[in-house]
Formats: sequence, structure tokens, C-alpha cells
Amino acid sequence: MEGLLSFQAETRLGAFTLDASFETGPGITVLFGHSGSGKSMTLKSIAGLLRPGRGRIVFDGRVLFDSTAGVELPPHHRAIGLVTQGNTLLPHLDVRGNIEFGIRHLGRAERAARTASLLRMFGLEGFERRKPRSLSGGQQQRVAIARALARQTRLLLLDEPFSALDDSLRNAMRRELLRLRSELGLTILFVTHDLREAHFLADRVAVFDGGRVLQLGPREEVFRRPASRRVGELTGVSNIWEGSVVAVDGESVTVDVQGAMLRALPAGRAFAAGERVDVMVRAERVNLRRDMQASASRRNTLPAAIVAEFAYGSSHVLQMQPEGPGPRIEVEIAARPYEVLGIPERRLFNLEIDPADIHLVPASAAGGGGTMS
Amino acid sequence: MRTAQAGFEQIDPELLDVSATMAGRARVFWEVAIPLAWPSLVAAALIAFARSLGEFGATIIVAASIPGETRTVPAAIYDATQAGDTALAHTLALLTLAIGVVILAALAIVLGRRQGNG
Repeated sequence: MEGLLSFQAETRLGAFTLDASFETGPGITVLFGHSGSGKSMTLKSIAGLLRPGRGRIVFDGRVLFDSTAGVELPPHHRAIGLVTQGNTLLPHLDVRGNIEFGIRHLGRAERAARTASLLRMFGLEGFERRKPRSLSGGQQQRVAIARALARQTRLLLLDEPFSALDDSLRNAMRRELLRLRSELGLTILFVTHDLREAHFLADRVAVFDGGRVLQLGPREEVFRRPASRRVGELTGVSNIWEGSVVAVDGESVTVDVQGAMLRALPAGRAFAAGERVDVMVRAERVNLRRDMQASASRRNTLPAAIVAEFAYGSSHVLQMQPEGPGPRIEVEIAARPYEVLGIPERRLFNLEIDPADIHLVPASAAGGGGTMS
Repeated sequence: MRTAQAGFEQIDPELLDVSATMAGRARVFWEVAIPLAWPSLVAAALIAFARSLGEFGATIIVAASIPGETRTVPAAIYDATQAGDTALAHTLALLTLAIGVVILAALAIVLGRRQGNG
């Protein structure tokens, strides 16, 4: 496949070991994880700025690094574009000089044509003669991305490129990146530790933890069906409980969570009665109902009272305690439904959870997930 | 030396990394590192020159004061004083002072610009 990146590397750096392997293709792959989880090391290894102890890195059928075959292309022969968080424009060159820095070997006409088209693409026409210092943070990062693309790279490596920008600008830049992705069909690796940014940009997500890739998959799969409890924790699943399977009926699995019987539909995984599992429900997948009848549908319903709530502006987070047995459940509800349901005046609601939104994985202690404590 | 070294050390490693993905080592050195460290390199050269202006003992011992060959301004001042030509000694001393002032002014400009860049 065109634009395919295959990465495998083992690198020891002090007490830290990066031992990651993954494959991905065109579109935006977000490398997500806490700082120090190995995301940036991965990017540097691909760029050729860090030599893996062992491994093999191939892009578009071209071997960039192979420890067994003794291949190690220097960074500027890898045809990659790198943009980092800080201002990395050359302060003594103007915008044109910066964009043309990596294509000096081309003829004058070719250079001018490429620069002109990049300036147009990034809305930087008229800025050719400006020095980086006279540009805003957003303009600087646009020039940095234009410069990275000037070498007609098919692989763009972005290491938290918008983190130093202020909020509104960051959002505009993210949208611009999405536009760029659809226009150019590039393979883009985007490093971030910001969950919202990861969700917003990702076609695919690679979840890093302790130097390993715990899961790589399409965005919805990673967010809705984390492969392990640890992935759930990292991707912001706020309801994670220990439970045990009490009954299996075809597709449907009933689990006991602290005395509450919940019906789940774990697609693609078989469970047996008596098996210990981790049960995960994202806070935004829980529905609140005013009517207290048990639902006629096959959804899980659970009367529960609000014990704490937090306002985030666009949404509210409620902590709810079931009336009967059951775990404390965190619910996220958008600002408008919050008002419509009259939540400020009322404490008791019926919680409704679709069985498809209850995700089960084998209990982490027994599941052999490895990095979980 | 230390001033020159500081000039290279204060270059953002991120900037050098990103540059290395676009150009080979030689170009990164000549077209990125040198221009960025340039004010410090000029400052270092000026400081070295200013220090050498005041050097007397080492010059006399190592190179002596051969007119037209190894006679430096400080040595010439000494010779003039010894020979009783105080007018020449005064002129040379004033000249040295003037050179010193010019160098200090140049340093102030160069260093000031370096800080402005950071």
C-alpha cells in the first residue's frame, strides 16, 4: 500500500526502554500517551535523529533504518517533514528563505513555483520577505508546516505542533490540518498528550504507555473498545469497574458489578460464566431519564441519585449512586440537556445504558496486559 | 573561547534537529549554527583582540620587541619610554585607549543584539 509506514524499534535510553512496533498508512495517526511514554522518541527514530538499538523502519517500501542490514539513512535523505512545538524557523532567513531551505538543490524556477503554491495553500501570500520574528505564533507554525512539505515529503511528523499556541488559534490550526490531510493524502503522525486533540484529529490512534504501543486502531474502536483496562484509563473512560460474568446467552453477557446486574454485548470476544472482567462505560454514553419506569427495551436501567456534580461549561459531569446495589457511575451530559432535564431541581433519575456501550475485557490481573499494576 | 562556545550552546537543539531533516551536516553547520552563533563569535574575536592589546610580559619574553617584526604597541610604548620619547609614548597610549573604546562600543552593540535575538 502506498504511504505505508512500518515501525519496529527497541531503544534503551537510561532507565527507559522504547519497545514499540506498529504499522499505519495515509491519514492522521495520533500517537497518544502521557509525556515520557515514548511518543516523541518514536518520531525521532523515524526522522533519524535518534538511533534505535535494534529495529527496522520502512516507509513507502523504502528502508529508512534496519539494524540487521546496517541501513541508516541520514535525516535529510529520509524525505520526511518534521514540525515541533517550538519556533524552529531560521531567524536570519525570511519566510521564503525558510521554505526554500530544504530545496536549495532545485532550480530557481522550480523553487519559486513550489514556494508560491505553498504560500497560497497556507494563506501566507505577501509574507515572503517577512522575518519569522515579525510573524504571529500561528503564522510561524504555518510556515514551519509549509517548509516541511516543500521537499514533497509523503510522511509528515508533527510533535505537539500547536501546543505553544493559544486556544482559539490551536482550534483553527487543527481544522487546517484536517483540510490539508484530505487535500494532500499524506501519512501524518501527530504526537499529543491532549485527549480532545487526539479525538479531534485522529483517523487512527496509537496508545503509548511506558515505551510500548498498547493499542493501535481506528479512532472509534480505540475510544469505544479499549483493548485493556490501562487503555481505558488513558483514553478517559471514567467508569471502570471490576465485575464477573454471571451468564452468557448468545451474544449477550450478564455481568455482576458490585451487585448490579448489567447486560453487555461484547462484540468479537467470547466470555465464560464465572470469568472475572473489567467493565468499562464512557461517561458520555450513559443516558439520564426523568421517568422512573424500568425500561421496556433491553437497555440497562438503574435508578440513581446525584451525589456530586462538576460544571465544565459545555458539559456537566455528574457522579451518581444507584438506589440499589451497584457502583458509583459517572455521567457526562451536555449543557442543553442538563437544563432541559431540570437537573438542578431534581436528584433522582433513571440511568440508562445501552448494552453495546458496556465494554468488557478480561480482568487486568489475569488478562496478562503486562503493564498494569 | 568560552564566549564562542556559549554562542553555539544557546542554539535551540530542536531547531538543529528540524534543520537536520532538511539539509546535511555541513549545510546545517554553515547555514544554521554559524549564523545563529555569529554575534557570539564576533564578540569572542573582539574580546580576544582586546585582551591581546594589553599583553606585554609574554610578548617581550617570547617574541622580544623587534621593530617592524614583533614589536607590539605595548612594547613600543615601553621602548619609547625607555628611550625618553614621552611624546611618542603618550600618543601610542592614547591610540591604544581609543582602540579599546571602539572595541568596547562594538562589543556593546554586538552583545546587545544577541540579547535582542534571544
